[in-house]
Amino acid sequence: MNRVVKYTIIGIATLIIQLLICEFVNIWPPLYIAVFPLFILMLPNDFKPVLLMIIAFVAGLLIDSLSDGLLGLNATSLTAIAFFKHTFIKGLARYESGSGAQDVNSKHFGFQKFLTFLLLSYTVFFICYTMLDDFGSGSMVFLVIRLLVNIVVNIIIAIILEKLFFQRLMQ
Amino acid sequence: MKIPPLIYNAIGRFVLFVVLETAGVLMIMNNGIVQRYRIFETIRSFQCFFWERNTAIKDYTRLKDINASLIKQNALLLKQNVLYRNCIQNSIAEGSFQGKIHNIDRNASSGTDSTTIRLDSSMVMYDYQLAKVIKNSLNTEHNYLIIDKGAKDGMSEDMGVITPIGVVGITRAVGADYTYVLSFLNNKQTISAKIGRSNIFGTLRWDHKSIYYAQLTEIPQHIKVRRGDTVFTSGYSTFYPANIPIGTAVSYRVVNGTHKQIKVRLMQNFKDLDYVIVVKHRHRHQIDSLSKFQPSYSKR
Repeated sequence: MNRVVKYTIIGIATLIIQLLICEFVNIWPPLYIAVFPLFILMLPNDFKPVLLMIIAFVAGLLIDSLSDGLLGLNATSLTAIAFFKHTFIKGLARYESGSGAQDVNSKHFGFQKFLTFLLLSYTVFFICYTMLDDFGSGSMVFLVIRLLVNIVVNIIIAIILEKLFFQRLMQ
Repeated sequence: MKIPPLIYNAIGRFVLFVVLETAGVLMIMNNGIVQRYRIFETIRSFQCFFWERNTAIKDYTRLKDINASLIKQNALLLKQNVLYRNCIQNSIAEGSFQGKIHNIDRNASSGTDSTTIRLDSSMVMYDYQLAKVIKNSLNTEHNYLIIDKGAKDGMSEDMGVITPIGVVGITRAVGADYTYVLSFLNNKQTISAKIGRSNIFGTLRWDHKSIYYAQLTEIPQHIKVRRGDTVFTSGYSTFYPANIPIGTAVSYRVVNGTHKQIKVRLMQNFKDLDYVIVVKHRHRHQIDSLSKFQPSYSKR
C-alpha cells in the first residue's frame, strides 16, 4: 500500500477515535485523553517539519470543530508538538544511517528514550493545552495538578497504544 | 552572502510555527470569552509595562529640557515677583494700590517670554536675562564664574548676577559670547543687605572660610536679631533688586560695642549653580552719574 495512503487512513482512524473519546469518555472534566498527538509523534522522521506542522494544525482544527471543544485549542497544542518533535528526537537519539532510522517507536528508539520523548512531547502539548484552556483562571496549584495528571495518564495510554497498534501499523 | 539552507529552513519552520500558533490563539480568543478576556488582560499588562518604561526613558532624556524650562519659568516668576513687590510698595506709598495691580496684571499677561515682559516703564527698574554657568571657581579667595552670555546677548560690565535664592556676583569682563562674573565668594565683593523686613541695612560679605556662610556687618546694636531671620538685598544699589532672599541669620556678636556682626547661612549653594539670572538696572547710568556729582559751593 502506498505510504501516504496508509498514513492517511491511520490518521483518519486516530482522528475518529479521538472524537469518540472526546464525546463519550468523561472520567474527570479536567482530564483530557489525547491519542492524536501519538499519531503525530509516531509519523516517520522523514516527514518534513513544515508538512508535519500543517497536518497537526489542520487535524487539530478538525478535532476542535467536530468535538465540543474550544476552536484552536487542539490545533495550537498539536502544532507545538509537531514543531518540537524533530528537536527532541535529535537531542535524544543518534541514529546511524541506513538502520531504519526514520521510525519513531520504542523498538528502534529504546524504551527509555522513547519514554523520555513521550514525556517531553506530552509536556509541551499539555502546557499549551492547559495554559490556553485555563488561561488566567483557576489557581496555579490546580493548573499544575491538572498538567501532571494529564501527562501521566496520557503517557500510560500512549505506551499501551504504541505497543498494541502503532508500532506495527506505522512501520 | 548566501544563507545556509539549514538556517533558512529553521527560520522558515519557526515563522510557520509562529503563524500557526498565532492563528490558533486568535481562534481561541474569538471563541472563548474567558480566554479572550484573560489574553487581552495579559497583553494590556505587557503593554502597560512597556509604556511605563518608555515613558520613564523619555522623561529621563527630557530632564535637561524640563530643567531649562523650569529655570526660565523661575526667572519669569522672579521678575514678576519683584515687579509686584515694587508695585505694592509704591502703591501703598501713593495710596492707589488697586489701580497699580490692575496695571501690572494687564501688562504682565501680554508678554510671556522670560526675558521680555513689557510693563509700565515707571515700574520696571530691571531687565532679567537667563544664563548658564560654564565655569564656577570655588576654591580660592578670588572666585569667579563664566556664563554663556556675552556682548552679543546684551551683556555689559557691572550687571548683577542672582538666582531666586541668592546673590551670585557682578559681571566684570564681557566677551562676545561669554562673560566673566566676579563671584560673591570673593574678598572684593560686598552687598548692601538688610535683616528681615526692618529696612535696617548693613554690608554683607563672604566670610572667606566656607562657601555656605557670609557676614552681615554694621547692623546697629539696638536691632533685635533672631536666629532664622532672613537676610534680603536692600535695593540700595543698582546691581541687585530689593528683597531677594540671600540667607538666614545663624548667630551674631557685638563688635567694638557699637554694632552687630551677624553670621548668615547662604541659601544658594554655590556648588549647585547651573543657571543664573543676570540683572540690568535700566537707569544705572543715570544713577551712577548722579552719584558722581560734586556740588560746588561758591561764595556769594
